[in-house]
Amino acid sequence: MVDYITNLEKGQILLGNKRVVAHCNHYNVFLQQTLTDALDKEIVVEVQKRASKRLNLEMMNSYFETHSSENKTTMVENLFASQGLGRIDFTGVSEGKGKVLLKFSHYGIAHYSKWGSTTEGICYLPAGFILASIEFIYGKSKDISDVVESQCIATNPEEFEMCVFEVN
Amino acid sequence: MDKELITQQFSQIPVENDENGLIPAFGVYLTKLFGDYYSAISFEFEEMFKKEISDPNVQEAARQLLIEAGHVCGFNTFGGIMKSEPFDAIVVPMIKDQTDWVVGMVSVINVLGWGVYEVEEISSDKLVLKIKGSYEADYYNRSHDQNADVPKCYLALGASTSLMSLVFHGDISKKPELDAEFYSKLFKQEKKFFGQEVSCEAKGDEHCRIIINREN
Repeated sequence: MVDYITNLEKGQILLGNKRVVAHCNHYNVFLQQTLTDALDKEIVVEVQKRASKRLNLEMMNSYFETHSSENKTTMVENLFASQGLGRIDFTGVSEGKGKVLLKFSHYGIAHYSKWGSTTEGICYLPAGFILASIEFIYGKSKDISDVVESQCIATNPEEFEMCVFEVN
Repeated sequence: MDKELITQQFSQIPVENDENGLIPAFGVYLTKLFGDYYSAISFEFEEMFKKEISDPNVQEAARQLLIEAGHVCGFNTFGGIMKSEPFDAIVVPMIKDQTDWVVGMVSVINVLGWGVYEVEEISSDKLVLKIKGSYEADYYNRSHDQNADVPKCYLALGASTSLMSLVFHGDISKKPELDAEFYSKLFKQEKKFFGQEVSCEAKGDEHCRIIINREN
């Protein structure tokens, strides 16, 4: 069980040192699509991955301060699920490289439901989460250049039952 | 209406992930993501527009896109909550007239982590909403040295407009289907609601204040 702290007087919910807010699948994919449609897609995708990595890494470090007895990999997998983002699995990663599996991707399912099938991966926030997790678990490495979503449920949910990320 | 009771009771409803790591609630799938994430990508998007296109009308169009995302949020999330069993059980028994739907829903917003929302004025044509600690303004102030030159609570503005539209155009009490057709009806018909953020903590104001009016 992941600890979220609610402060009704301030209208805040905290996870680690970070304020979290509840939003729905419609808003999440609408905002993401609006941003990527309006400007240079590559740059806007990078903005989203970078923001996700930075904020998630800060949260993981802060959360670990009070949960240091937990296994880091299990901790990040549970944190991801607790945020409603799906089930992420780092067992295919060794020494910070390999494959990360994501079942029931919130973004993938919501994107497909709203916009139909896409030609490429759209799970930008999860990609940033993975970058943060790799750094959190294995430490900062110059060798890790990027995370690429090689398979996304939003491209064809009948063919792909999960999203796959390659950590290069 | 006992607004504090509504907030308290909704805060006791577990909003937790299922075995698939998803959070089905109120007819939608919720996430509990960082407010800073939404704000960071929205403000960076706005800045990128500013750098690429100097025309102020185009910059305003970028802001309108972010407000539109707020419409989508309010339409689906507030609509789902107001049609839900917990809303029926906790809020509906306290409702005496249509404006109470707005007051009741605003009391529920206060468990979403968005800040503290308070209705200052409500009628079938107008809503004045005060927000303390808006997560959008909060992020702006922590990430910038100077006050903003325009208000920054795009999500709050769009979602509040949706709330008025759902109650006074859509009659949410009849539990309509929250589909694309209904969405179009709410935002494209005559005398639709529109909003303005007249003060914002990101601009250095004490609180954020949003006014939603009906078109003449």
